[in-house]
Amino acid sequence: MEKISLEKIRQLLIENCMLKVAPESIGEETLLFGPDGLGLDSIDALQLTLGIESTFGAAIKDPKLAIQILRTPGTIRLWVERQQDFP
Amino acid sequence: MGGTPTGLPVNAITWDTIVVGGGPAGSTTAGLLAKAGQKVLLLERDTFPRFHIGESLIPYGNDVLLELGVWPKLEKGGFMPKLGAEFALSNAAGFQRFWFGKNLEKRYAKTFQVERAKFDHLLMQHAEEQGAKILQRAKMTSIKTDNAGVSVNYEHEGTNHEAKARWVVDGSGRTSVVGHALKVPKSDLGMPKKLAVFSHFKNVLRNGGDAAGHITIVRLENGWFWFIPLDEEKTSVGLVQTIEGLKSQGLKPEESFQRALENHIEIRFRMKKAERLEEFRIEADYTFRHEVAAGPRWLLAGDAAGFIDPIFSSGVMVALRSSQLAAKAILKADGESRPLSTGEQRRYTKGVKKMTSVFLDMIRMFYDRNAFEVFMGSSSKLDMPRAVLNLVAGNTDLRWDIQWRVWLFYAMCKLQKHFALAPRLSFEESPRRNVKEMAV
Repeated sequence: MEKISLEKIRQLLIENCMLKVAPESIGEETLLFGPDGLGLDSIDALQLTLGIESTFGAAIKDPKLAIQILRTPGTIRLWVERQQDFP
Repeated sequence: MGGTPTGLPVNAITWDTIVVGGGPAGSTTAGLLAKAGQKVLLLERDTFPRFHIGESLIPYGNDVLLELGVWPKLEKGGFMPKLGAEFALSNAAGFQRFWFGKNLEKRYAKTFQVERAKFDHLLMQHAEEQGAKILQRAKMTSIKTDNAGVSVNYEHEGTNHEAKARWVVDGSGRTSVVGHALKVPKSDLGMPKKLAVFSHFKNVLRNGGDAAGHITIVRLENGWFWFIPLDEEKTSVGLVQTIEGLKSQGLKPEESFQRALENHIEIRFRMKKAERLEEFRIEADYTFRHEVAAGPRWLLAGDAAGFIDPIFSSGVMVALRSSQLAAKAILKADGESRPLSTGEQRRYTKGVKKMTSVFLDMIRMFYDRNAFEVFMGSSSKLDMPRAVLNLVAGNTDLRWDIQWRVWLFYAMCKLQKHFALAPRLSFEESPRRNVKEMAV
């Protein structure tokens, strides 16, 4: 069962990124980076990483993993939920 | 037992078709042929219901279940509806989810997860309802075949019997008793030998909402786990790895299952409250394919024609579709009172090989680190996810607009080795803190 709602992840994106689209249009599988996604950049990625740490208490320490984890709202949720469970 | 639709003993009549094996391939062939009016004898060595591995269906098998008329029974049978498939990395840093309803025709939007004891039994009973004669605990011992027909010897309740027919279909699974007896040449297709260790569990973590029935594949650096929700309570969980990899760890299969559970956060998370319901089972996954799948009077269907790695749940689908092909070929030739022509034999072999070949490409992709990166990171460019979804759903007869995207996908998989078209994947686990001991 999902403990972190999509709404909560949208909120995280609104607070930490320069969004060019309406938050409602962001779905579970929307790509956050790249031209065929939301087009977020490396500054957004850094902000997001910090945002995830302060909001959910889960620190992404390995930059290699960050790009994997920050792919879509779905991938963020998956990773965060597991970190919260095994802190 | 022993009676036939005509009231005569089993051995006194000439059957139209003898089917060896009562799994999905055998029961489907028997069901379709009986439905078309043939006198069919099905020999099953076991007693149904019985356990079998391979519990996930994919949507491109649906057509055959509909043609058989068994679909409504599945709807009412309490099977878990499967609306898609998902792939996660063992370190939880990567996830790809597919929905069959997205971009596929409506009849492929849903299929089922099936406890095989129940599903296979249902198919067998359905074949019986269509008029096929089912003989359980009947083990084929030898076979003779020529251009006119076949003669099958089998052992039933301690005595030997002989049955004659114009056709024989091998649905006996990986043992392929007919293929073996006829010494049909086979190849291992260059795939390494693998081993699966698995069991049924309760209280395994489930997805929320419509994804509750998804199959989850968790990719480890050297192997993978399946999570198949079978009903409200029961989940099938298994670990597949190469025999070589297992040996290098120096662990027993059950121990390596336990080790993976401790080492990988994705597995640990899903299995946190899991309780094992049965003993662990172990099964070898040896890929093979018969070079020839049909002769004048015999056809190999399902796993008997070839067994491929189960990662994409192709087994039952290939069984259903190849049986459909086999039944069609038999009915056509039988209608003209002749054996299969060499052209028809070749076409059947080609048809079955094509099904497994599409999956073999996918399987090689899955085990190739770079190609898997493209699979996990596939962008929405050029509608590629739709093409990959068609593959995951089991479409082996690709229309041109899908086919060129599939080629493009594999081209990207090859290029990924040199250029990071998709992000590189790391399977590294975050450092562990405070991990409680778990045992299942």
